[in-house]
Amino acid sequence: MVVVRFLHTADWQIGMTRRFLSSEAQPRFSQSRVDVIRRLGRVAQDQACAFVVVCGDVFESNQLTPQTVRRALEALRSVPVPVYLLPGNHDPLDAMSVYTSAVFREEAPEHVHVLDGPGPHRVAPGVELVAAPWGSKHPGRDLVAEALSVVDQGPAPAGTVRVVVGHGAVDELDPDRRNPASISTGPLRAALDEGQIHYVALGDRHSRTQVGDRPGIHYSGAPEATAWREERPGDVLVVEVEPGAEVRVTPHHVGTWSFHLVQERLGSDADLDALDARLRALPDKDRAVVRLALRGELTVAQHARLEEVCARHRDTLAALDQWGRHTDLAVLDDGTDWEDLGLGGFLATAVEEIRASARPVGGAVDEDGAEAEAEAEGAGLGVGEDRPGLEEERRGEEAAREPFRPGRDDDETSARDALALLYRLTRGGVA
Amino acid sequence: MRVHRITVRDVKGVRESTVEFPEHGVVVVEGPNEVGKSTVLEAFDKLLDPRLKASSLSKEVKRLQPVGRDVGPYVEAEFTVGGHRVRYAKRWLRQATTTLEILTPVHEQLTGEAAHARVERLLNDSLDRTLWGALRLAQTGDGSLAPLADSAVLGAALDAAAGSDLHAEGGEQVLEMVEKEFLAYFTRTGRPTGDYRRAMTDHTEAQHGVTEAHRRLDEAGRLLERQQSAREAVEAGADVVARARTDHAAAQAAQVRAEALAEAHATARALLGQARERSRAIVKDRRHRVELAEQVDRLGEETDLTERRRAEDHTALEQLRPLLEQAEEAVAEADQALERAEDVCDLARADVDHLVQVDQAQALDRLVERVGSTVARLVAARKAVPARPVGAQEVRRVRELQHRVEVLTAQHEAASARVRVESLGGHVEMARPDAGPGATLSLEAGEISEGALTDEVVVTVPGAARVVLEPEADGRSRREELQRVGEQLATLLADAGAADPQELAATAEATAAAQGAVRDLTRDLESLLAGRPAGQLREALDGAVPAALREELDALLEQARASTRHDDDHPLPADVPTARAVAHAAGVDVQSCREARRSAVAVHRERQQGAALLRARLDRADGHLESLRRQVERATSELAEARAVMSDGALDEEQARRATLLAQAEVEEAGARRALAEADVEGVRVRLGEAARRLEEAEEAQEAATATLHALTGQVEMAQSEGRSELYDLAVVALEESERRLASLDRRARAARHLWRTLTEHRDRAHATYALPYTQALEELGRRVYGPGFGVTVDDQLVVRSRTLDGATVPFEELSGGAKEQLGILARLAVARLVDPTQGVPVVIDDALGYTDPDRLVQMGAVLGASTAGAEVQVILLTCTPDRYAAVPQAQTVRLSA
Repeated sequence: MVVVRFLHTADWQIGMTRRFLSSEAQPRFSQSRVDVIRRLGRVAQDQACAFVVVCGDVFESNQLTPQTVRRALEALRSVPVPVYLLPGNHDPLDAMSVYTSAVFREEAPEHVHVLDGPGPHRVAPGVELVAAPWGSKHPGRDLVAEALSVVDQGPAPAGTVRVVVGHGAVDELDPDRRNPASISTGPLRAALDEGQIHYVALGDRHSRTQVGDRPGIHYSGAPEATAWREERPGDVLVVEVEPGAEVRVTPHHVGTWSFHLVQERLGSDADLDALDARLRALPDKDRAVVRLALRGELTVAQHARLEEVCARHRDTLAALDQWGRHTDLAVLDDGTDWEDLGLGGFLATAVEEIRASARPVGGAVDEDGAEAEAEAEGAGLGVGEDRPGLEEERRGEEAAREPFRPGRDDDETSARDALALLYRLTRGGVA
Repeated sequence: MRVHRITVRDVKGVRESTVEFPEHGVVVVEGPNEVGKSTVLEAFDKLLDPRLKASSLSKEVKRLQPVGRDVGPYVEAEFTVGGHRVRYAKRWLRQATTTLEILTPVHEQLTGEAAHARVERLLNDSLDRTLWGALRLAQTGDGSLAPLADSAVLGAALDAAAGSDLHAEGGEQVLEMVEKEFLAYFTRTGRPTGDYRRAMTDHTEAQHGVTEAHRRLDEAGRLLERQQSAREAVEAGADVVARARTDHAAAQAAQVRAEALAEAHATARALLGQARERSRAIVKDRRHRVELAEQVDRLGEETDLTERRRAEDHTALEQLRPLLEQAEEAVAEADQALERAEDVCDLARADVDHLVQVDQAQALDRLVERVGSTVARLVAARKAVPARPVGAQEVRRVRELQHRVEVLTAQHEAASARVRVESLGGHVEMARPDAGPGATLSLEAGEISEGALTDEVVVTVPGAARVVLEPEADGRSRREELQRVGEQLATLLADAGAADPQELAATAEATAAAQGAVRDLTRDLESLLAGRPAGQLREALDGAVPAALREELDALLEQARASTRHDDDHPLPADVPTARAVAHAAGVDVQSCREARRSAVAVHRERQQGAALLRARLDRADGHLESLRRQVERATSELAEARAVMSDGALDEEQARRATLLAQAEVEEAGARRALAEADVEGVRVRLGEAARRLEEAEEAQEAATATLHALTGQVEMAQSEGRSELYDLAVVALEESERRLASLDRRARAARHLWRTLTEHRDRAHATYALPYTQALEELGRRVYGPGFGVTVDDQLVVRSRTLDGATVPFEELSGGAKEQLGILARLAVARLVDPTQGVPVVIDDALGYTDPDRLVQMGAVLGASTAGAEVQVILLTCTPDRYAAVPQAQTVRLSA
């Protein structure tokens, strides 16, 4: 009997940027997306895979700088087996496709192939990849069904293994029930059952997912995480197909980045100690992206300390920000902190005045988190990561976004910060 | 702080000195200049200076060392500070030591570093250094106070006085820190600066970066859309081109058919043309043959006529020939006759010339002779002119003078007295001294001399008498006049070289005669030589016969000799008139001969011309005949040849046949033309053109669309290769980061600004509150010196800004030195009275009030005394003027002496 073993991966998103990353962390993030290609290449070699299939969104966009494309191709050169790339919604085969660009045409290694036509591609004796490449960002139809329609009806000939290679949301996981581009799973299951096809390799979901109860239809997930709330990102799948037997799918972890959502209730110095320890315990901090969702009440002194803790960890983590919508921190100012400092005279009256303008304290929302939040909501929530059009809309909004206005007049925030500043300056002890 | 005692030893110029201070009240430290009053205080300052440990070698320490003495300056002081009474001493530079003894409340004794540190702690805790510095009025100070707002002790005191609680322990220090923080983000005027400002700039740039990246990304998207439209346009264009091609092919087929009909018509037209041509040719041949026959006849007739005319001309020429010869002979004869007549005439004219020459020579000869004699007489006449010619005018003048002498003499004598001297016996001498030495007359006995007494006359009778007779005065002047005129006459005569007037007259006559002769002869010569060159006259007047005259005569004579002929046949006529008559007759003869010759020549010329005319006509007739004969010959042979080819009958038959063929061709051509017209060739052509144009347009449009597609594809590839999407994402990342950074800085900046503004505002309010009790204290003291009209304004930094006295307000800087000093002392006293006695410091006034008038000095003294009375204030006054502070009641005086 013929046994075919290959490596299933997707959503490399080469050239992706994350706006919560600093300009210092962004290059590391980009580099990691290239480095992971080399690691998955080693997995393919170690696991004796016959080839690697990448189910779409190999590139974050069709319009990437030649440098970015070259670096990816250079990494691909180190993969020791043939690699089949499927154009996805991020890198469709349109007129501007990265796959038809001069850089790609001239510099793609010989063992790297683009699945640029719908239908079967015979990639090795007895192995057919039924590809459903994206020709544009808005196909408006089920490309996988279309690709399958040109495959001979009935069970595959003996000695032939057929693997469907697709990209996009499957109907049962797509929140948009009327999306005409959703991949219908019913016909795929029937084809699997009949033996017309043997495995469906999908991309688009960054979370590693098996569709349905039985193995056979899988999202490999992104080999490097891209957002919070992705489940089991950072894996590739080694797939072993043997017609007549159940397909064997084994995940291998290759990712190095992690996204952490830290939700804590704060109310005491001990809580602050715990938060500090939790952050301190995070592994690979320079590749850890942390979002804080903090609630509770803090004194002025504790709030000052929280700021200090965050500032310290921000230096080591790839990113640390506050998830505004889920942050609800009240700073309690009953004056005891100030009494402890023993400020008298005009300092005391000034503090009184500032405290008055700082009230009411509560819901210390970090306004800067708003945009990052939108991104967190949109990505990795178990649905089609990128609904067609979302990307363009987002870009349009960004360009038209109200710019940040510095130097606003004094308000509650500046009052609170002024108090914190005074606290910090005088805490050292004034004679 | 209270100072109780200060001892200095080996400090500057002071060997040793101790000053004891009372607990409170005024102490006046008195002593002459240089005795070390200021040195004591300076040494005390150094003792308390935390920087100057005993081991210090700083300049400030070295300044304390006495000049030229290698000893360690020593200062010891006893004072109370912060409730501790201490005795503290230091020696620097030599055997450096520090000793401290705390006397109360708990006894302690420390040395070295420990002592220094203990004192430093004590002072830091309990000495308000701002106040310590402010309450001292140095010798060199102008009375103005250091800003007092920073003094915590004063602040607390003023707070208490104002009944408020605005003083903040260390408040200024906090404000300073806050201000430092504020200035890290803002300029003093509140404009962003430093990192904050840079972050703003970066953020704006990042925004521009995103906008530009988005524009380019958008552009790429539009490019893609345009490329798609272009691709669709190319596909649609291909259909249009295909349809246009089909239409064009159909139109081309129609065109081919129409062209075939046109070709058939063209052939028929060509055949018709050919038939017409042939028909025309045969008609033309026939006409030519008729013309040729007529030409042969005409030429024959013309030849006959020409030959007849030639014969007539020939006969006429033969008849003319003898007449021509006769005329020639007549001309020759006339020539000979004329020649002869001219010879005779020439001879006669030569004779006339010759005779004229002879006459001229004779006339000239006579002239020469006359000129010669006249010249000779002229020379003689010139010689007769006297050497000194005398003119008539001179003679007239002499005569007038002579006459006047005579008149004057007569007048003189007539007018003068008369003298009559008669010698009666003896010798009498009579002399006229005026008339000259010789005018002496001797009268001998009885002689009588009588005359007019015109001159002085001296009559001397020797041995007897001398009589002097003097003429009257008039007589003398007359005499002088006479003498003057006489001298004039004499001079004139002498000039003329004449002895007397008679001689002069004779000379004048001779002169006139000689000059008249010269004039006459000159006129003769002028008339003789009139019409000749002027040079000849001048030569003659100079006394010689002109040489040119002689030469001319010689030349004439020579000519006459030369023209003399010797022909005996024709004797020379007798004279010129005769010769002229002969010559005239000969001239008339010549004229008639000439006339005859002219007539003969005219006849000859006329006949010659007639002959030439005839000969020319004969020549022309010969040429014409020759030509006619050749034409006849040619026409005859041509006609014969034509008839040989086709006889005249055959020619007629051929013409009829060709006419029939032509009619047939015309019918055929009309048929073809009709068929062509029915085919609508023009319509077909237009339709084909239209189809071709449409095809061309469609192809062009397609080409353009393809070019557009290619261009757009190129642009799309270009845009693709730039990676605009990634660049946009990176720009957004950069914007995010710059915004994060800006937001972070902005929070800090706004916090600092908020805090700084609020603190500054509260501090200023506090200062303003303080100013009131301080002002009251100062004014209360001031009114004691200046009266109730005294007032001051104090700013929120507790600086005195102006003084008001009886309604006049003067800024502090503009006050006089004395007034400043007084106000300075009052301000210090006011501060000293305000502060807590245990925290207060001594007021030290070093050598002040030097410019204060005595009355004011008394008042100041009273205030000094009063302000210390009952108050826990220590006032130390240093002075070198013993009585300056005499008015201070209850002052203790310490005298320092060298």
